[in-house]
Amino acid sequence: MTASSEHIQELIAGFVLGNLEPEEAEELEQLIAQKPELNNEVEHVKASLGLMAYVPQPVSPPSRVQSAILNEFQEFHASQEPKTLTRPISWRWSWVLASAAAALAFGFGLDNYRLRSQDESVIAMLQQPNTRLFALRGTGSTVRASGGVVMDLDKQDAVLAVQNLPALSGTQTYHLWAVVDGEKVAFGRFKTTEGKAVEKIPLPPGLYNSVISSLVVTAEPIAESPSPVGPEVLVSVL
Amino acid sequence: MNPDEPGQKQTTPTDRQLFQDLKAGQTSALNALYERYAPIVYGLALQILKDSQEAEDVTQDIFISLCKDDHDPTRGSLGSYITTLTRSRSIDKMRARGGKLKLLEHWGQIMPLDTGPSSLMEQVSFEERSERVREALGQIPENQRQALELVYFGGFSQVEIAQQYKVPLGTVKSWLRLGLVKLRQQLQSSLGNNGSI
Repeated sequence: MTASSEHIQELIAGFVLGNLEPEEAEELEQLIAQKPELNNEVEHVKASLGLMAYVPQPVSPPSRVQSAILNEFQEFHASQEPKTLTRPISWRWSWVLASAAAALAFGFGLDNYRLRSQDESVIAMLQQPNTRLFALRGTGSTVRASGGVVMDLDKQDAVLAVQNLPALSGTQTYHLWAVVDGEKVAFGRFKTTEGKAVEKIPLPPGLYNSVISSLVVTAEPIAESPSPVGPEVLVSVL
Repeated sequence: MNPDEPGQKQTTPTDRQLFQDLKAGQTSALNALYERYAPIVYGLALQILKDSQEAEDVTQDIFISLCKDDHDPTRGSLGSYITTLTRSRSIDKMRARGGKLKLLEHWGQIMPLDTGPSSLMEQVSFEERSERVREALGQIPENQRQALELVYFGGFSQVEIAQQYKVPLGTVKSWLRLGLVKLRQQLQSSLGNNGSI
């Protein structure tokens, strides 16, 4: 059985729009496995959607906007001698300690599960000076889900623990994304058992020097999703 | 003309050159990138937010981010990075202020807003790009085009569109898919084989 070109186009469009049903996602994944060149078409369809940004008429902003940007740019460079364009990381100890308490409380919540075996790595992380913790909370239909991520920025490692996530079907996979400058950057992916997961995830090199404002977990239709198209199931809270 | 494409006028620095100079602290590079992209950024933010003060804030935010953060321009075009970031931040801001505009406020408002003339040659190419995309959208059946616009500029979910317009979710999904397929096809004929810029 071969899929018609129109059908493949619609599947790709659905993938880019994030509206594929699980069985459609599986079908597309199989088609791409057979014809890897379809990945190019996925990129072109994505680019076509992105070009909608050019639909509104360009409008010159008031001159005060440029002045404000220039001022900040000059102040920034004046404070960066010798020049470094990476934002300084300023993790406060009080914040780290509060995060540690939250992480331990979270750990108790997941007692009897695999977290016990990960306790040592989590505790070791919390003892490091450059640690960051994100608490995760479910959204919408996954409101009962919760979890957390502890990141050791020196060792470039993270431990994720989640619970009460719904079981996924077919090729669906949970993906963790770091939000950097409003953009979701791939962090890692994981599977759940009975709604739970505890995973050690290495920090991707692309995130070593990034300022991560939040984390998001999505249920992606395809394991190799390069960008999030599935629904958000967990988001980090301050 | 795409400033990132080789073989163009030598006097026009590419986005990549300007970005490197920006990272080296050159104010002239910031000014050049600002003149090239600020009208696109502000126009897009204004389209989504319908609020000039918020659109100014987004514009400022985007350029400050560009100055301070580590975007790797080899990962994709700077224009695509900037417009994606602008849309994402505008929609975040719209949600943060307590939700979206009503559907009807968005409907039919995608057409151009008043604007002054642009000063740069680069802008001509962007305006041409805008025109091509608008023409391509114009070839798409009305309901498919409106659904795409509501998702892209309004941040509406498919479920919201289906509920508001009392059509099955499957219909909205279908509008969006067919609309995007047609947009891709129209842009392919307008812009060449790969349909990308």
